[in-house]
Amino acid sequence: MVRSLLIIGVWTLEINHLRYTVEVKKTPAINCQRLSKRYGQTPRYALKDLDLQVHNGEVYGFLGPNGAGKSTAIRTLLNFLQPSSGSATILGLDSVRQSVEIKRSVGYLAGEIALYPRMTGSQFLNYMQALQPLQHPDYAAQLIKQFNADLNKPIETLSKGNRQKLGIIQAFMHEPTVLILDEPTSGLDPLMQAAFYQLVEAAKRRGAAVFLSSHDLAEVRKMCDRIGFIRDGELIAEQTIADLQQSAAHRFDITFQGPAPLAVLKLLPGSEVISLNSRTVSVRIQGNLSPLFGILSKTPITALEQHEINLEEEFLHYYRDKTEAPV
Amino acid sequence: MRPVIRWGLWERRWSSLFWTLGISVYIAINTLVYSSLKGQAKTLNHVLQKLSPTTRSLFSDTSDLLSPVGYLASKLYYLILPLLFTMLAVNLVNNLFAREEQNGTLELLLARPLSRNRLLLAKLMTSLLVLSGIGALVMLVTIVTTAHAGFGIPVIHIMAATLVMLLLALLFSSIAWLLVGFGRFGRHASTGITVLVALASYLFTSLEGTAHWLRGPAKLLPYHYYRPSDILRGNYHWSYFIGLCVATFVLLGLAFAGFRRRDLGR
Repeated sequence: MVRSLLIIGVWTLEINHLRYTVEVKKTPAINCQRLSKRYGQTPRYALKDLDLQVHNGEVYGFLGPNGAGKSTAIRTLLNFLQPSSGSATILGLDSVRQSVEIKRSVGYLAGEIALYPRMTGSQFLNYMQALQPLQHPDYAAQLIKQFNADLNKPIETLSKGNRQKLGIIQAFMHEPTVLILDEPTSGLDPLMQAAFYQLVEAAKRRGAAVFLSSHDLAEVRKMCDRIGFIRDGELIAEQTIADLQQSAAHRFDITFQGPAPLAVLKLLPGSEVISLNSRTVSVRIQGNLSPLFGILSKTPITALEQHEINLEEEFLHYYRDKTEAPV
Repeated sequence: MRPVIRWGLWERRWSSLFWTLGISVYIAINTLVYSSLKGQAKTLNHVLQKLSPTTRSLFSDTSDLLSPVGYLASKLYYLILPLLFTMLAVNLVNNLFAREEQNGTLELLLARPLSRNRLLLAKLMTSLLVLSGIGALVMLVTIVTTAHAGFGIPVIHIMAATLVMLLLALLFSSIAWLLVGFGRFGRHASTGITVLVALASYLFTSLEGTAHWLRGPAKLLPYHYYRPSDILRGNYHWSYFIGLCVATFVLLGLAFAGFRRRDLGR
């Protein structure tokens, strides 16, 4: 009888533990519910009704032009700013009331990072380490090596890129479960940007949730699983990178050897063709590019130029198509 | 908390050294020349008595400016030392806290598992350690030089005067802590307001003897309860000290409350 009761007791405990584990895994790492921020008594919201979830093992890109509200959202999440209304949780903990517990599991990189100018890189990292001990000290050493960080010079003598490296190392070195990064690649050279992408990928593989802000779509495409676009403090669009890739339009300026085959190009599905002169056209095409290159392979061209995609235009274009209403 | 205090102390090591040296030299010069003035104290006192009471009240809280106690109070404890230590304390609030907030490094610290209360406490502790360290050395210099110059004032009275003077500086700096805690003013404005309150407090208290209408407002200001001559003579009402302590704690408590739930600025 006692033995049976014990077995039932142990089973109940195990089931509860399992339930708890499933619940924790289901809870988004970052969860904002109608999170809003207004400075003082101004009527304008710097952040309005932000609803957003980022899950473990996901890289979320938060995109928008300068002054759109990206940094406000990040600083509110980290309790540097008090929300005017709404709430946010990180790892299920309230961002205001349980801010200190949250920070045990968060790595943060500020936009335009401020460091201590008189400290050397090594003093700075030791200081950060003293405030938040590392799980694996070797990992910090590995990051320093990976980013080739200069630790012996005073920070005030370092270039912006080298200061940014220190910022990245301090954000990642304690192997946080949630990473909140504001314009993380700002000032990094292409080689270091590639190292940073690898670092984000590694964090994602170990199950960390990464929330990063940027205004560079190309960069976000390389790193993120999902992106949200913010404008005037409001999240106006959210989609997966896979959807974006499918819907994204490309724009090419093509110069032909002879007259441009306008009539044929206009027949391409999902294309808009603008004639710049008799031999040069600008083609904006959505989706499959093969038919365009099929035409180009048969018609001699002298120049082909691909244009950078305008992020906001791309998003608005996508959303106009989806909702058939102006955003 | 400890790393924040350690770094704060390390960062302020040179400025603390120069503050200590500067104040010590000032004290040494003023106390050591007293032995040469002592012989002529009677004559000089007679000359000083011809000054208007208003002018005399600006130098000291005693009319006897050339007795050992009167001299030490007028030259050091009544105006100069409280002024210097208030400047030092307000400067510490600025450098340890307000400047960090302005530069954005405060966010870097608060991105670590460190509560706002503990961060503010760490900064306050650093400021207290610097103030009390410099205060202790300055007190030592005063004790040694006054003994050498033959002031004949008991060491315990000099220690008490230094302690109350430090408390007064801390009380004034707690106004600066309050202002930066609430974050309503920039760091320069906080300094300005604090210095203004300190100066108003000094002037009201000094002039209350000659302008009677100042007596009421002066009683609301901390300087009124700072009586260096009484302390040096051993006649101080220690209830005043307790009052100054309470006022300091209240202001600091309000600073903590203000900082707990406000937006950080950059």
